[in-house]
Amino acid sequence: MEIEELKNRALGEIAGAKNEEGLEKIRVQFLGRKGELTEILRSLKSLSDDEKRTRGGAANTAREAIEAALLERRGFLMAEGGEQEIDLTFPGKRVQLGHLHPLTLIENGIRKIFTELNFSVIEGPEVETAHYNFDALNIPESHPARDMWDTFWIKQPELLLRTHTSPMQIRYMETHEPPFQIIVPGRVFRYEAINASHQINFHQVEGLMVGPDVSLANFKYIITEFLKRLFGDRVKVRMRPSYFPFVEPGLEIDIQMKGGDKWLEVMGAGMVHPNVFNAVKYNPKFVKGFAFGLGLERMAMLKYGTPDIRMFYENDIRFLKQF
Amino acid sequence: MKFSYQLLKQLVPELQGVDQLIAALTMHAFEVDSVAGDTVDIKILPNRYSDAGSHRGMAREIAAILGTKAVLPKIKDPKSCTMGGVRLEMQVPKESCTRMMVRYFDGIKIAPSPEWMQRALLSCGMRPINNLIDITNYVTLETGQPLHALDFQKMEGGKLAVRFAQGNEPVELLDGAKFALDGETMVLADARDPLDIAGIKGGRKAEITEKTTSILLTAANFDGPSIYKASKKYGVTTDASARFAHHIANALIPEAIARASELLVELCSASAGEEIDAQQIRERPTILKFDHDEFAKLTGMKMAKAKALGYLKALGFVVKENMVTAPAARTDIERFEDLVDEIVRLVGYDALPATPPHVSLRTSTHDDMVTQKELIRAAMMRLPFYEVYNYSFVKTGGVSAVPLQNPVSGDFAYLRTDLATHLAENINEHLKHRDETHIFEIGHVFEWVNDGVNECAAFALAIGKKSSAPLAECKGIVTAVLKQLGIVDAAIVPNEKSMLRVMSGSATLGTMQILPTRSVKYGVVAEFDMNALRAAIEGEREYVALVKYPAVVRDVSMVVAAGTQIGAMQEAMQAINTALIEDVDLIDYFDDEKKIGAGKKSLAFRIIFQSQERTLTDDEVSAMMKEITDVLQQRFAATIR
Repeated sequence: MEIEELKNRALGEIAGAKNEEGLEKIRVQFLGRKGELTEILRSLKSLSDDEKRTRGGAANTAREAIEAALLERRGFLMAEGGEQEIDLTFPGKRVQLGHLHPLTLIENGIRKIFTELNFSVIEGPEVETAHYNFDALNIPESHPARDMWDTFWIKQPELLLRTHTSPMQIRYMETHEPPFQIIVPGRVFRYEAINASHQINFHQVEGLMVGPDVSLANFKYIITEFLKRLFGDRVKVRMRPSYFPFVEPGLEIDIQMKGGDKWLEVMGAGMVHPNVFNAVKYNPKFVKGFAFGLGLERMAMLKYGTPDIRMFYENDIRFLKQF
Repeated sequence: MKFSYQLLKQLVPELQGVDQLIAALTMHAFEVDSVAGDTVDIKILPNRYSDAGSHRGMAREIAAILGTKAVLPKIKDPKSCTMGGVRLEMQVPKESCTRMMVRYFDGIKIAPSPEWMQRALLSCGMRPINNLIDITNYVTLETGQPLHALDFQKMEGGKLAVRFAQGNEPVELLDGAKFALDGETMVLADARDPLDIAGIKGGRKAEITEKTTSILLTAANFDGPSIYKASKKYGVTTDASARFAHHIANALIPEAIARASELLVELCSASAGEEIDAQQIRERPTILKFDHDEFAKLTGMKMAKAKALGYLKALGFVVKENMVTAPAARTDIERFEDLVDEIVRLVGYDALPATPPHVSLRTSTHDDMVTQKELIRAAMMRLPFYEVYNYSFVKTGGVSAVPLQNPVSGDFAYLRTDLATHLAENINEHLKHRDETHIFEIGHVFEWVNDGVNECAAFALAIGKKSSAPLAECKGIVTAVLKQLGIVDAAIVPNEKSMLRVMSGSATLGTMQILPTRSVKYGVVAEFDMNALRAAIEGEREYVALVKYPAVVRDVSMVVAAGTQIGAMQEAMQAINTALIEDVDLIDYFDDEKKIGAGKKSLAFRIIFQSQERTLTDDEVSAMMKEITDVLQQRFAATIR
């Protein structure tokens, strides 16, 4: 039938339309003011009722089919982007991000682990007195034990730059009652020749836990837990005897990274010495405690694989960017 | 301290090689620094020089760790068969020299010492000289007690005195160094002159030579701090001075004299003479109570009492029920906790259980400063900036800078008074390789104040650019960061030629400094006092009702003379109606000579009109705009475009 043939022709052309313009041409051709189907629909009024019904019905069906096809093809062409293709390999825009210093990152990591173990975080002054830095920690003057810490003096024999974060043990205990557990991150200073593994200023994290029944076994638990969280479950931890004037027993802790064969020293520790408790007027009969001190740069070098401690203070953007 | 493996093996025959030795010592006593040939360098802990700073002592230690016994040859102390007629006078307080033994020998024939002794000395880093001197050194290696031999024929007046030097008394040491000794320095002296600096080094006067035939062998114990101080004062450190400084026991003396006597007779054909022992202080044995319950509490370890005491016995402690007597050489054993250390290290830390502590649960806290640093870092990360860490030291300092008494070099002679100095250096460095840099630092700075050091926590940010001054950018960033911290009313106010002040109310939070272009390309540093920041922080955020009525936005562009202050123009525009003018924002800025002529700049402002109570009418807004353009033309000679 003439209308059927018209409809098929229209649908065929619609299917082959490549763009919006083409589709519009087809619509106009068939459904426009002078369109082929439009003419047929107009001519219906001169027909008999019967003919109107059959021919009219067919014409309307054809019109609906053509309009639907136009819509669908338009949608298809829009989704496909028509003739314009997007280059999916276009490189991504470089976005600038901020960077925290690797020492901050490792300090934050350490703080997080200890906070989750219910430790509080305290800070203290970098300029200290010999009393807090040495005497109260059971390190007397004119004793070779003081040689363990090469000191920068501001005004000998009283004012110095702290050689470790341990003075904060004394300051904290003088102003707080046990039981408690704290860590103290901070910058410390040593009179050293600067080289790949020594710096004149660097950072430590001090730990102190005091209570009526704190034991060495408690320390082993806490520190093993900490090291596993920081370096991963497969790190091996060992403790061996050592000496610091402010703890007894005194020990050092080494770790062995997975796949490594060397034991690397990471911190010193021990049970708080009764002389230290006496210096802060705690009764050693009623309290016990453990204390430890770890080097932050050392931890960062082990965790991130940085070979030279000086890099942390050179602030080369290419270095900072890596973290 | 260097040891000879061969000599240790002689004393501990069960030793099965260096690896076993290293493992045993490292896990139960001391770190081993290095092994080369027969030399084992062991890191003697500072409190163990007395009992373990010797081959005999170390052998006892190793044997205890290995669960065996050391084989220490019995010393055959020769009987006296000759006489020197020497007198010993102790003229120092008893604490200064707690014990002194001297023994006379004659008939000495100087010759090279035997091979086995030379080898041991070489392994321990010493140079063999002759049998007499080598014996004194060797016996120190064996027993840990320093010995000093004096040529008896060179001594005047037949007496040996232990005394203080008389002010500026001269002495020439064995190596030719000359000193004038002060009245605090101890010496061994004959009737006239000092023969050494006591406890440190021998002098020329009674020096041993190949012609020596009779000697006074001396072994003493001196007050550690006195020797330590003297050693630092004269700049002379020796094996002997190090031992005395680390506090050794009187008990080492008789063993050393006996052993040296034995060897002198055997190797130098010497005849042993009389012996004088001046014990100014008799060292009392240290007896402690071993409280087994306390041990269990301190260590958290379950160990039978007998087993614990067994470890002490293995280390040479005498145990009688609960009372424990330390070996005489153990100057480090003072209290119960020292016993705990001995037991735990011997059984090994591997055997220690790991037990979670019991705590009463209370909130853990962070110091305010810690929290503040976190907030600042979070804010700066968004912006985005790089965090840097600089040295706390600077090369030069102003009047208030704190100098170090012993700086490690001229570059690090003072404590920093600000963070800006190093940040400016960072900018210079970064701009060599990039077009711009954004960095910040948080750290402590220091100043002399009233004869004391004032230490402050500071936060500083710095922007460096090759192409243009980043002042506007810095102002924007500072405002944004401060807002993050909770400081909503910060104002940045010009202060001097190239410096601005950051204020909150009447408090100064910090400063902003434009860096001189001869030191950097274009740079700005803003530095804040962390305490001032904390004081300015407001409490909680508060909701402010949203305005229901629409804002009206009008732009105005103009050309003004180059020197016209933009801030003043903004203030003037805002002042037209402070209630209805919400914001005056600089949206365009232009000073290209070719386009608008020399000495001029082109500005565009966006003015936002907003009422809280009604919709503004066009007439109202236009009227305000007229006032704005009037004030711009009249006060600022602006040409409106």
